Amino acid sequence: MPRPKLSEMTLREKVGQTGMPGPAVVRAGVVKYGGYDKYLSQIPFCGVYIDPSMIDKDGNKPTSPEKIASMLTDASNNLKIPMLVTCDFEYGAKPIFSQLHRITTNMSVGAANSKELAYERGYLFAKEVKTLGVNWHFGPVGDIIENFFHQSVRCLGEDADTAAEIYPYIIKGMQDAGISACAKHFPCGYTDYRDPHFSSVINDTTIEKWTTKTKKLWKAAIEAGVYTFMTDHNILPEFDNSCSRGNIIRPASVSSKAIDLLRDDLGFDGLIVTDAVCMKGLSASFDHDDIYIECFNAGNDIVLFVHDDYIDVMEKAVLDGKISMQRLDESVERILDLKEKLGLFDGKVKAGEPLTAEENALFDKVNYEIAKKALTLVANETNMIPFDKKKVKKATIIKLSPDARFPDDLAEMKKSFDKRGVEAEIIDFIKTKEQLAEISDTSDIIIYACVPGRMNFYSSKEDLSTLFHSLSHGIEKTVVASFMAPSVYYNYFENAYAYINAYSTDRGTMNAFVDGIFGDFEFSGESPVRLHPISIENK
Amino acid sequence: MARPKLSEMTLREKVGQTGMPGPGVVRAGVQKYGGYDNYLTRVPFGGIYLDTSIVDKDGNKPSSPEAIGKMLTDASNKLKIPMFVSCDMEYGAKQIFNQLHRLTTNMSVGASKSKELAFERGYYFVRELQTMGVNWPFGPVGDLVGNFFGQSVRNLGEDADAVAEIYPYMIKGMQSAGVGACAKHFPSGGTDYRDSHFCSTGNNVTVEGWNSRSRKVWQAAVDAGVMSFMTGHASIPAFDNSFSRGKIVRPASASSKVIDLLRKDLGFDGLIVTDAVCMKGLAAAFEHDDIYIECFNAGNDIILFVHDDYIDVMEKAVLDGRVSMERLDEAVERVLDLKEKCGLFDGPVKPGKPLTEEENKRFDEVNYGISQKALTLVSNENNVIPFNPQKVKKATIIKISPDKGFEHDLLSMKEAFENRGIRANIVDYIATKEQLRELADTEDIIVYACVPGRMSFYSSKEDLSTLFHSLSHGIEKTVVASFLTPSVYYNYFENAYAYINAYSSDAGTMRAFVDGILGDFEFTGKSPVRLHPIPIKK
Repeated sequence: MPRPKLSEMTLREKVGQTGMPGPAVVRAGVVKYGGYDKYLSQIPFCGVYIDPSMIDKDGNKPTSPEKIASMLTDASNNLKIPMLVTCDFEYGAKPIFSQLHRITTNMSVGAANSKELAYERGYLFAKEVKTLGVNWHFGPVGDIIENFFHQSVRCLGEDADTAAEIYPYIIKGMQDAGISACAKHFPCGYTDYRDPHFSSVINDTTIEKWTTKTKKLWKAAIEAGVYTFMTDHNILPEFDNSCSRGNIIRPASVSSKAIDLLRDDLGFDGLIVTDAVCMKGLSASFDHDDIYIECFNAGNDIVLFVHDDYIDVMEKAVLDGKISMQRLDESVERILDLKEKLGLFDGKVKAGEPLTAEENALFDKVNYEIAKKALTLVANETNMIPFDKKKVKKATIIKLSPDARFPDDLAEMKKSFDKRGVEAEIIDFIKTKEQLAEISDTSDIIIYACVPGRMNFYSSKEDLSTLFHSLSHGIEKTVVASFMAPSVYYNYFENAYAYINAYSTDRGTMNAFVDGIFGDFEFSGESPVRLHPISIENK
Repeated sequence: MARPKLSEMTLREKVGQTGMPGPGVVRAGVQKYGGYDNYLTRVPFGGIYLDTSIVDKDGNKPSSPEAIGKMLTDASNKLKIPMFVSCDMEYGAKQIFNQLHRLTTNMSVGASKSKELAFERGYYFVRELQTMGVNWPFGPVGDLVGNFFGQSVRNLGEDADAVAEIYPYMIKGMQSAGVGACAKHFPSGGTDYRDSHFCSTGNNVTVEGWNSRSRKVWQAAVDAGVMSFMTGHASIPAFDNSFSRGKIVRPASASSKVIDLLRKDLGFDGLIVTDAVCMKGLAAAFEHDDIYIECFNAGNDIILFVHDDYIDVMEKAVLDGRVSMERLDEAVERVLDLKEKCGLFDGPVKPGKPLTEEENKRFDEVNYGISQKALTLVSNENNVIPFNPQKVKKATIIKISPDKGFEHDLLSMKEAFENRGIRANIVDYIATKEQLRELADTEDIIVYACVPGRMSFYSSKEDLSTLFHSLSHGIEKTVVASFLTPSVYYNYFENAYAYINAYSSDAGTMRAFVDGILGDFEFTGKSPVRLHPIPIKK
């Protein structure tokens, strides 16, 4: 399929290229029109977003990565303009098919501080998602952590210089595998702990602070040749303090001032996509009907997670003069540029080849090596770590997590113990101190394996019961580990004798964790974030 | 029953008076030994704690407040030493029986700034508890809010002077009904947002900082004649930075330095009880076997939520010399003093009389009155409020809460709307923006009624879905209100046009809320806590 010329495209086709529907809209469209090609022929969007909810035209989930890939590439080859296939698999593609990889998180990469491993992880991750037909991954996240309550393992850490060193390697790894990366979320800087999915979020940074921190990272991304950027619903009053409605300050994703900064100041000329426009941080900032036009006119090239009405609304806006043809053409060119870079106009579109056995083994090894460098020994008061391999026969792993997927990950930890001849048992939660006393009497190691919930706090009855009783018995043989945010330490376990931050729940991390507590290697990881909220306040 | 003399008590009886078992232990004991009197005859604790899990000797929940009152006072009258019946019920006794009251919270009282109503609320609250035989409620909470993330409606607010003004009236109101109130949780400080149920907590206040804030509240309580104090587990390294084990700073509840402060510096000579010793903030700070002795030797008179083994452990400790007889006698005298003050030695113990119709009505009025003064209009852009009562026909209340009990509270709001001729619906959650658009098209008022979860955040799928879609349609006719912590405003709804902090979810608050948004009165409440974690530049 050759690259279409603007002059040969209808207004509807042009406008369609600037919209990307959300997964529920796609599901409805695919079933209604009978397939991805038919849907996108009728409603000519630039592409689709895939996640575990994806279905075929009969409403069924395809049974393998290859089936998804052939379905999507076949559809692309039936379209006048092949589609972008996007995704957000920041924790790896495993949520869609369990034979695919969970990956070490960005925070593991930040803690590991290894450019080579960051590159390889990016490359192998991209190769794997490419087997699904994906050609544009919405990542990596480059946001710098600036608030203790917004400690997300999606971020590399809080030190902008370190993050700016590593970040380009993740991007290069991904793009060398032949997909587009996406630096997000510009302009960012999370001084606010709130989540733009659920509220307006304000970053009260100054231009100077932003320039010395977050800007470095975005600059590094551009120098690495990142193809795309995603804009954020975060509000930065220093950059733009106009109000969008009421006294709500205009989110950055709809601020031409913020986007001009990326274009003019940072010199980025690639494609800019909004974050999802259905998020409250944006959707509660405007009257519903204005959102698409506001986003587009601010300078975004693609508006993310629109409804089918997008095309009518935007067509009318162009005809009414609310959107200029020049603005539209400029965006369509950038979209076609991206598609061209991704090879979508080089003959038939093909999905990536499945990873070879060697590549799969290498992927596992890369995750393991990252975890090994990342694991951070925060407390080891009585030197219980390393445990004596010869003396440990029985380990009890106490799960502390509301996440329904975490038990699968813990099964990998159990396997890792089992392989070493240590009998390991996973306990769902602790109900009484007597139960813990018994576990303490019969186990040589007790592990509290933590993956907290929203805001890195716990709220379920089971988890709170475990926390309530935790450490009352067996503290001298207990290792607490967070496989997610490091703030678990301060929030719940400052009084543990042994505590490790592991940042990730992939198999490599689980293996490295077990090897590490038995002394196979020294823990050398340094925390990429501070471990106490107080020092941030005093900053 | 005459007050026993120390000289006539066995060591076991003495030691027993200093322990108070937790509800799980009591339930097991009552069924094992066949009743409260039989249990406390065998395991002679100073009393029991009453909560919604209370059972009779057959394991059934008694059917009415009067049945509980009779069961417990009958048991007391058969014991050599009548028992304490303690409870928390900070949100009112409704949780145990639906016909009893939910109460305006302490934060409502703090926002209302009314000493008279604070006194009356304390009085009626206790009168209601007394019908169940309660003679020692563990409250009111006097802790100051010192951290945005530690905002709790159990607290009166963050301004020490304002809190110290009103706190004594709550205590006096409660004690005027004839029970011992309990000032808690000494020494507090409130700078740590963490919850000592689930971790070690510490307050990094200086002695001067504490003197200028928390101390004022406790001094006011002592001056008001509060009969008991509860010690909190949160450590204050400025007072005691010794370690209890590992690098864990000694919890205040197990620190003699902290308790000396209360005794000598503040001059409190009444009874001191620990907070529950099973809480992680204490339980993880010591080897299990040391906890009772550490708490007792630090100067607490009663150790809260112990197991039946307490008596053996402590008896042995006295015989071993680890606990001195002098320390024990002093504590037992204080326990007996409090029992005497509560009238337990004045002939047979009786439960309180049920509230009369007038008293119940007055209790409702007091709650309404507190709310009317407390309700705080945080935002009213475009003058959404007041709504015109003539024009409003339909209201939809969107619940945002993981709390099951809140559904019941919202029925009071619905009723308040309907009493004014407004059809009101309650919606469980918002699944799509289209659903919200339809509501915005058909309704005259949309209320988001918020009671958040742990740490004042939301985590359930349903609540997050509502938040995700919230305000995308109908913002001009929407009122957001928190019926719990004020931080809901900053955390989720800074962009609402109309926002109210209501602090409580009792029926009085629900009615006052509806009357207020329909313009029956001006909102005059001032927020007792700051509304932003950091001052935001505008």
